Amino acid sequence: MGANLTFVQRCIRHRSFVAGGILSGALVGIALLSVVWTPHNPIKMNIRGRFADPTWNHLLGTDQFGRDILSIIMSGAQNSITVGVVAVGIGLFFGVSLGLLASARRGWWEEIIMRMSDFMFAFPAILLAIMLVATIGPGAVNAIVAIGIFSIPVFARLTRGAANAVWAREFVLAARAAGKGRFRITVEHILPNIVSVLVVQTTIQFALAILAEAALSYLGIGSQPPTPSWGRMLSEAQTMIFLNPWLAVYPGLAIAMSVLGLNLLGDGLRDVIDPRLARER
Amino acid sequence: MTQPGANGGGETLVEVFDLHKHYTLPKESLFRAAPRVFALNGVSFSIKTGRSFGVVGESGCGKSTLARAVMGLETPTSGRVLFREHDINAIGREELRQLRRNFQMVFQDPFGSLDPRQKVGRIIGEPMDALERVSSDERQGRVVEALEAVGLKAIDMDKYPHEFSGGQRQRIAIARALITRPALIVADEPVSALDVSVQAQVLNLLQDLQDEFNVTYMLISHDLAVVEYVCDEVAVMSEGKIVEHGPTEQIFSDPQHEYTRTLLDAVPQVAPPR
Amino acid sequence: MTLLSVENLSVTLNTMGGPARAVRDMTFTLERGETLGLVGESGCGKSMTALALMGLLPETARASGAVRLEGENLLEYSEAAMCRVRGNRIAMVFQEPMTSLNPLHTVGHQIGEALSLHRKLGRGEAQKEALRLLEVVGIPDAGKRLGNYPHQLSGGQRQRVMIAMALSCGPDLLIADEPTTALDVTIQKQILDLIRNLVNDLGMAMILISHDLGVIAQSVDRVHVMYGGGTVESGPTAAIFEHLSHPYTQGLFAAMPKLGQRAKRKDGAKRQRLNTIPGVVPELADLPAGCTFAERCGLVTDECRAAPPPLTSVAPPAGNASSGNASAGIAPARIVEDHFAACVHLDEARARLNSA
Repeated sequence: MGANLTFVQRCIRHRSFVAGGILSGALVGIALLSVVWTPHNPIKMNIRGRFADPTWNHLLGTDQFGRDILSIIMSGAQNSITVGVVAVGIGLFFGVSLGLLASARRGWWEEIIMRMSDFMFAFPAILLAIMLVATIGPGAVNAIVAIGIFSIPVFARLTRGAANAVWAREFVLAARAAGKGRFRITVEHILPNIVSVLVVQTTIQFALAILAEAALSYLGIGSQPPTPSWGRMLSEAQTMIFLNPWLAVYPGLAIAMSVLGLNLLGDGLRDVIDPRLARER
Repeated sequence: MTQPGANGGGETLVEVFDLHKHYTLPKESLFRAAPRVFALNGVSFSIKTGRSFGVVGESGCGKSTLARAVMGLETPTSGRVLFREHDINAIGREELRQLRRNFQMVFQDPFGSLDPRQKVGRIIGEPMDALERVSSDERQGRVVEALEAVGLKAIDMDKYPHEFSGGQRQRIAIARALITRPALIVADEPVSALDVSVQAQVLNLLQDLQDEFNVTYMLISHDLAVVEYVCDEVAVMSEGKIVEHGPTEQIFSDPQHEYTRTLLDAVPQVAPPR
Repeated sequence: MTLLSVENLSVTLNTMGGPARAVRDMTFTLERGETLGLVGESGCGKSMTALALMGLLPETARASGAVRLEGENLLEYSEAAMCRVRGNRIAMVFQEPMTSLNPLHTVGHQIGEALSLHRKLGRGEAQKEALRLLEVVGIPDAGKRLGNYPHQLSGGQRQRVMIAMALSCGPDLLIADEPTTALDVTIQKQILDLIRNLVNDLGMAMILISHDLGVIAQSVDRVHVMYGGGTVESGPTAAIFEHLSHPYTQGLFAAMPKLGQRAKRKDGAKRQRLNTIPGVVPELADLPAGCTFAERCGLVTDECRAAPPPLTSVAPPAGNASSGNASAGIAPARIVEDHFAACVHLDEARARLNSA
């Protein structure tokens, strides 16, 4: 019985939550830091000093244009987080709204919304994102919108499932007996009771968005130069993989660590939040 | 007690006429008509102000559907539910909302019927928030009043439901039903999830509240002893119909219908085996 | 040899609030053909006692004392050895027949599985035996029911299937944990009749666990009333219900609405309050050092709080054959020597009851 532990105590005891929290915290911390300070200007080239080995001045060395790799990686975190926040924000807002609507109205509304998300699920998301960006043109904003759109059905489906379970609970019937309408019940009872499920999914979608952005940038249809981006660093490093393999290792490691951290955090959150829910039921 | 209802001669509060409720189940076969379940099959009765009306029956007899139909939570297939002579299925949505202040409900499961994410003060105030406009001072005052009426303390307002035992949670649910000072409380199996000693406390509370506020009960239960203890009048339901209906004393001492007798015979008595 | 002998069985659960003694010093014996009832409210330790007998305690629990099945202490058995005992010699019937049956297999398959596992029957034989068992537990049209899935049966029929499975290996001891709580009263009566007849016919011993005094009163020879993890009163069923001795048993009985009381009310008395037990069931993690019922008892003194009261014999109260309590009409209990109660104020308790 973890009944007497506070939320914070349960968090601290959960190993993968702590590991995920540290990695994700580092990601956010580095991104914030890079806004005000990086060791060097990440877009300033220095052709003479290219492919420099790590030194105290350039901790991770320099790339093919002599830019400081550590600085680019740090600024790249900004890019990844922006993409994650905006894309997941789009998915959350529209997906959760549609899911709640489907659950509150049932019948035709539910049928139409769910069949539409089934339709979107039938295609690989990244392929559709590529298609979308190819039609409306490459660029960071378009990439973000495309990634966001394709996380809408994920949230819509999850929200509807969780919300339907809450609608079946007796306290919702009690709220109806008290005279509350569907909208108020949704806002006051349904949403607060599915927040934990959404939080977990949000961290996982966040990781997926970072990956998707890296993939789009790698293909050259994501964020455009000179904005630092991990995905583009990878694609640029590809041509020089035999010349200087480290150029590919650093951004790869950055992407892997961020995604790993967010996934661990998501798993941890599920464990930390869910037992409490189970107990309250 | 000077209210006219207290001694049984009150006006009619609820009238139910020939209520039917059918559910259509999902089709099992493409070629056969979808099966239908007849939850209510022509139910009629009336309840007078200040009285306790009991409905007993076994699971699936339609008693919970009846409770929800009386609360306007379930639209009947045909028939009418009149509350103070308003047909609750015929009046407009806003009128029904206004009327709702007068009838509230208590549910069976003291763990499922309270939102785990809300504090007790908010839970109890919910019907008031939904149906009335009150100042925050009045709101606070009435929540405290309701809490105290059911034997809880004002400080319990700021706690969450999981901090209470089953019996206390059921008190919270009763306080929520009382907050709009309703004329009728429909209680669907209000004590069947509780231990015997706690059940007795809640049953006594229900009676005290009736004496104090002259509230009318419609009590749904599978437990004959509970219904006999609380109710003035009893309807025995089986397969969506009322098979016997009358004053409690008469039903329990001189049952007329075969089914009522079977039910009464089946209740285990505290007497050693033959 | 005594079939089952439970000696000072205690179960300690490790909770975040510290160790909780869910069962404290339970002692009883059971012979073949005997039936024992454990009655009490939720959290009194009755289900935990059953799980300890079955060796099915949760992992955080530790059992001490002894559970002897024909002399062998089951608490010392390995998990593998317990597996051979469970189902074979001790069988259990649970409260909720829907969740204890696998929804994906037919009834015949599930009974057959138990038979081939424990009795090493071949497939054809197992099906034949399953059919016989379904007939024994009174399922109509048993041959057809063998091919049914659990959701196609009613609650009462599912419980009959559970009983058939429990009987499949001819157990010496049947433990029924709230077997009728999820059922309607008319079905409850059928199932209780069935269990009682089976115990008689097959000569098993049975432990029936229930919160319902009525169910217990009608079904078993002996009763243990449990509170706070331990026995507060034990004895032959007739003796207990005739001489309710422990204040808790008295309170429990008084709190129960009884059928047929309304007609006995005096004219005009519309209201009659039930007697309640004040307070709430104590947390197992911090039970008082003395009598666990002390905080809710009207007769409490310092003596009660000092040490747990031992189970003492309830001497037959002199000349109260006509002292009508609510169970009037019961023949005077014959054996009262083995009627015990754990209370230091037994005389006052009984005096209170007689004057009420």
